Amino acid sequence: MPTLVAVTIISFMLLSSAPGDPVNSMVSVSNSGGGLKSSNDIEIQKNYWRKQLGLNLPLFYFSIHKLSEPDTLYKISNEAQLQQINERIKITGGYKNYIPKFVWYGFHNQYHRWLFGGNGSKGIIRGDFGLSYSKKVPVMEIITDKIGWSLFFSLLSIILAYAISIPLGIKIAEQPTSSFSRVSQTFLFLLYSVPAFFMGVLLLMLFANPDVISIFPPSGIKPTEGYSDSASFLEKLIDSLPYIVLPLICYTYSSIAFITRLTTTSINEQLPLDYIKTAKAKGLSNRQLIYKHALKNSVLPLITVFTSVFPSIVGGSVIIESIFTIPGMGLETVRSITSQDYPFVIALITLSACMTILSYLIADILNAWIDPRVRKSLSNKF
Amino acid sequence: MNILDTYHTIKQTLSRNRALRRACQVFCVFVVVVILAPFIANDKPLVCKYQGQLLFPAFSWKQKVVLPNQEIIHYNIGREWKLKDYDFAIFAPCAYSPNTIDADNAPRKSPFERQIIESSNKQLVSLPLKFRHWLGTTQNGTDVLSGIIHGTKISLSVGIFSMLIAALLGIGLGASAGYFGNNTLKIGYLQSIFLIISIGIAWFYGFEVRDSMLSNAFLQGGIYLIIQLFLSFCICGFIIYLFSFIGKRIDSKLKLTKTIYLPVDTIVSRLIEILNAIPALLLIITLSAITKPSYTVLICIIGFLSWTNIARLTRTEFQKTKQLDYITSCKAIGMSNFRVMFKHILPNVFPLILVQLAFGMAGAVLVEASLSFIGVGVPLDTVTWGSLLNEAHDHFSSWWLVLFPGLCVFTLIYIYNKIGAELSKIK
Repeated sequence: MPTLVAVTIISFMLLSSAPGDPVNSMVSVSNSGGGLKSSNDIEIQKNYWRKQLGLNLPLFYFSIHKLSEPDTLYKISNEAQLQQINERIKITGGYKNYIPKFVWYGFHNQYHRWLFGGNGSKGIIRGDFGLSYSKKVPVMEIITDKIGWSLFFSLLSIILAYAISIPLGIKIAEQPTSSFSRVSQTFLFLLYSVPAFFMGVLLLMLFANPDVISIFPPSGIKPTEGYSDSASFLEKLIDSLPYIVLPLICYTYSSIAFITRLTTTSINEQLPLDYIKTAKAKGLSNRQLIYKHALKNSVLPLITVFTSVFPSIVGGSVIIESIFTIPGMGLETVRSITSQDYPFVIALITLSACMTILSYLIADILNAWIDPRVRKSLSNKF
Repeated sequence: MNILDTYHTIKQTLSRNRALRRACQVFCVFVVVVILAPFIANDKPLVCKYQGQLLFPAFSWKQKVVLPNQEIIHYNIGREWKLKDYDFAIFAPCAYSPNTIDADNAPRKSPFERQIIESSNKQLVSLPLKFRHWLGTTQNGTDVLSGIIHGTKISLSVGIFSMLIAALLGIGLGASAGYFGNNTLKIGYLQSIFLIISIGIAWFYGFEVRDSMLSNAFLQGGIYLIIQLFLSFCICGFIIYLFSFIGKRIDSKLKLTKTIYLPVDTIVSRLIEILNAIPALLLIITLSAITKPSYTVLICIIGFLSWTNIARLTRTEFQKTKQLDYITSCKAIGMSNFRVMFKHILPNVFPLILVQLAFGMAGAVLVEASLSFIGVGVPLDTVTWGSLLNEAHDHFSSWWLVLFPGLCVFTLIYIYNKIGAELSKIK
């Protein structure tokens, strides 16, 4: 929990101090639609949005600033004016520029409002991440809109990776000296070093290229004419199938390489142990030995890796999504950063941090569920 | 352990392990390419005799040269170097600089296609072999081979320097967390209060007073920003040290005996936890969107975000090692903490850290290449492996744009991973 608070404070401070006035872009966006407006009008509009977003509040509960600065400097939003004032302070402040002053603003500040809500916002603890600057819709709406494909790909790829790599890893561990094991180990190590973007472009070059083989479409996630209205989820899936294959390979290949290696090494660690020798002496077949005894004991690192995927479920993959133009969270992240839409970025960082902590928790629970030793030590503790 | 011993150990390890030797050799090739890059790929001739004057344009730092007949040659004329009538000239093996635009071969010429050049009498003729684009050209007509050769420098330096920062931070923090733990370092009661107060004041003098300078530095970016931030942190550190010193003095003057333990381990572990909870790539993209993109800043950001793994490893190893008998005897003969940590524990832990560093370098190279691939947070005018691949993204039917830069990134990451894997096998 303290970690989470620290993460939110860091991301909030970082992005609030980012250059550029967010209101400027909001007004200019609405301006282009409605013809010319007088500068007075624009100022009024800006002030409206500022109030709406709570930008006229102090940033945090307290601040430490120069003795020569007034307490209410945060209320000035015009950058040119602010610069002028700062220069004036610098000249006239004298020794007061070098004496710190501690100011307590109370609970009426931007961070508190963002966290717990207040004039117009419900706060993130009630699931409201604020308003997106550039789209002017709630951030939560964008997230629910975009998370679908990211969720789909992350989950499908991790399931696929486990389904392929655990049997493969066991096979390699069973006969470590066979030529199959050696070749596949080398190949997987090579595969592990291939960067995702290279793999993506390579796949595009080979399988979406009219000069070579053109079986898969190069970009997008659904047919350009869209789904038919009456299509069920399954029909939609079948429609999208050719679009899904290449990104899915891209998502999966490196985890296959990694998890296979992990499985092999952790089984190999178990094999020389005494209990395996006992089981062997008892007359168990090699297969039973591994599936019934060694695998169960080597499953802990696999669980940790499984839960480490959770943060990427919210974050998506920036690179793969931008290669195949999948309208998911990753692409949205790039868009929001380049268009200075910081509420979205803060929301994403916070959510990812939540998921990371959740993943630790789930890993612990799963470990306790599977491993009686862990359960025992936990029950001793409480 | 002196340098000669280290050298022998390295030599022995390399002679025993063939795969490691191969990987190191390839790495050395990359280093040589980086050092020789200006002489392997340059549009200026290495040596030429022009109008009776012997010139060494590729080796010269000057902007222009004045010939005896008052003709002025500017050194940055790009591809026009190839059109001059020389008495004789030796060009670099790849006769293009990474940013030189060869408009005649502009939209993506394949390595095997007929490449052309406009001769002195305005006719298009086949490109002579010595000026050939060996790996084809990009959309604008810049040379791919030259881009790859000059991009090596960035990929290598990002990996090495960011991991240098990460290693310094990670070993320092991890070692103190593991060695001191939560209940070794005692500080006085007043001193601790002074420490807490000093953090706020240090923040004020480090960042608030230097406000205008820092915001200026953020606008300028690059090495200037790093220096300014470093100065700020130095001021912070100095003030915190000053306050704790004063607190200690007052404690001893007033003869206050009440002490509390400084929870070094908890602080460092929390720090690691926080940094791990933030998605690294997202944070890097965000940070580099805030300041002006530059590779110096990128290196520092990657370094400051990736020390956590090294710190965690160092911490656990130090915790294990400090309980051994030889450390107790070191302490018994009155060695200082610093000496025990870095002269007696660190050498035993270092091989493990080296493994982690090799994998970390692979990660850093991957991050840099990914960022230049999507074109966020990196200066767009620099040609790197990632930016070449980015061109391939839009025109993936041009296989030479996909294959060659991609293979380079792959090779570099592979050899880092290989070095890491082989080192971890050596016990």
